[in-house]
Amino acid sequence: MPDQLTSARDLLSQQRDDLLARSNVVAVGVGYKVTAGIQTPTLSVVCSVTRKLPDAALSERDRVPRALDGVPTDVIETGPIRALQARTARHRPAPGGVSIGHRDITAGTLGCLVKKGGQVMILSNNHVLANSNAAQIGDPILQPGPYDGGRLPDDHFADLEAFIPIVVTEGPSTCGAATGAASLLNALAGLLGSDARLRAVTTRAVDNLVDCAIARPLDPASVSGDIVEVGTLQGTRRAELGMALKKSGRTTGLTTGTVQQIDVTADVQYGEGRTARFVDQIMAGAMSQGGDSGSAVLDDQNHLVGLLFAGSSNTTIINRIEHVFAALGIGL
Amino acid sequence: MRARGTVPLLCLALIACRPENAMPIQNDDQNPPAGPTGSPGDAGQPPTGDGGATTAASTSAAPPAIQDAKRAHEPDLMALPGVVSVGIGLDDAGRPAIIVGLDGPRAETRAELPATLDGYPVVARVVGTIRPL
Repeated sequence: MPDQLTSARDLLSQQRDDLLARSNVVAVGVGYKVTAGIQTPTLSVVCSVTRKLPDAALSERDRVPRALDGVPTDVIETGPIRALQARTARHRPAPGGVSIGHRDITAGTLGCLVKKGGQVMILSNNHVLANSNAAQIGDPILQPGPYDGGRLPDDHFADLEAFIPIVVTEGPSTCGAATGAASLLNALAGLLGSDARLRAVTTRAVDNLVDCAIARPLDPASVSGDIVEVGTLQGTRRAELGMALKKSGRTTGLTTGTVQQIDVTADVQYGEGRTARFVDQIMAGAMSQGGDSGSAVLDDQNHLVGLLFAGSSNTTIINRIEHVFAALGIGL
Repeated sequence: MRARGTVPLLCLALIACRPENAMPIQNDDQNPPAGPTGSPGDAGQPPTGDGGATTAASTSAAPPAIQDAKRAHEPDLMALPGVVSVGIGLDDAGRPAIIVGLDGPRAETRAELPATLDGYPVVARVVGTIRPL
């Protein structure tokens, strides 16, 4: 086997330029020959072609010979090979799944294109496009986001159009009456021999459904309806328990998961002592990291089901897309 | 058993602070309301004390849907130390369950969690702190 490999490699280094000169060949390498879809133990010189064509359709000099000095060749169709542009790079037009951000944040992900009143908008999170409520409508949005080198004015490609404020609760209960009542009842409970105790908790007047915002591209031609490594959206669908999911995000790229929990109420830490409670969320497993916020979450048939916004080391929290659309008055 | 005492007391306190919380418990059908919120052991034993208005023979109330059970108990569960999420998922046996997410091991909170609520398994899982990404 080592001899076989050495001879195939030696042969390849001699013939590489000659093979790549053929019009259809885009890559050459050494690999096991695949015959009728099954990998054989025979080493071969593998030629990747943009399109596999019958010999008759190719001129003599563009044909790949069956064998080279006794080493078999194999021809596989890969299509044209393009450089994968980093998601943190500048993209024009910018597709879903690349870095984006308000000028005062680090970076998040451009989710997908949506429409509001017939106008094309880009969808992401409030904490990506509106700096967690701190932004003003009309603020510049950069692609890539500032952490990835996005700078004003060159990378300014959209303006904040609208966001849904996140209701955040600061710190533990500050209600003196509640704390006092709890102490009194705890003292009584102690006298009565019960080991149960109360503590005052802050009641949240509003539960959040979404962390979302939209921005208006300065030029509609600077955005693309594609999502990196995913393609185009095929509509929306309601997420159900067990549904297969995927997302395309700035940091972890294309990842997959399943809906592990629905109807989730979750407390999300937006900073020291600043908690926001979200209800009716979708929970998936580990399929994201910092910078993936704003990713569109799809089912396995490219139906949009949610907007990724939060997570822990082993979970991902996703807004239901129906709540996002209703809150912002948008559609596909 | 600590859980028996703590959970109803917490319920009472929360209901007192948030009157609207009392509603979901009894609004799903016209059956007479059950106790304040079913306590952990309800499934296997008839109600005692305050449940006197309904005898075991006359209650044929269907168990609440898991969504309703989760909603009714959620304020109590979210108030326990270290609880960061409550949702509906599957337990290890594949049965619909109320899943309680913890920010760490939280042995004391785990000890306070009932095995079931309104007949649905309650499963604790460590999810860690949830942050925007």
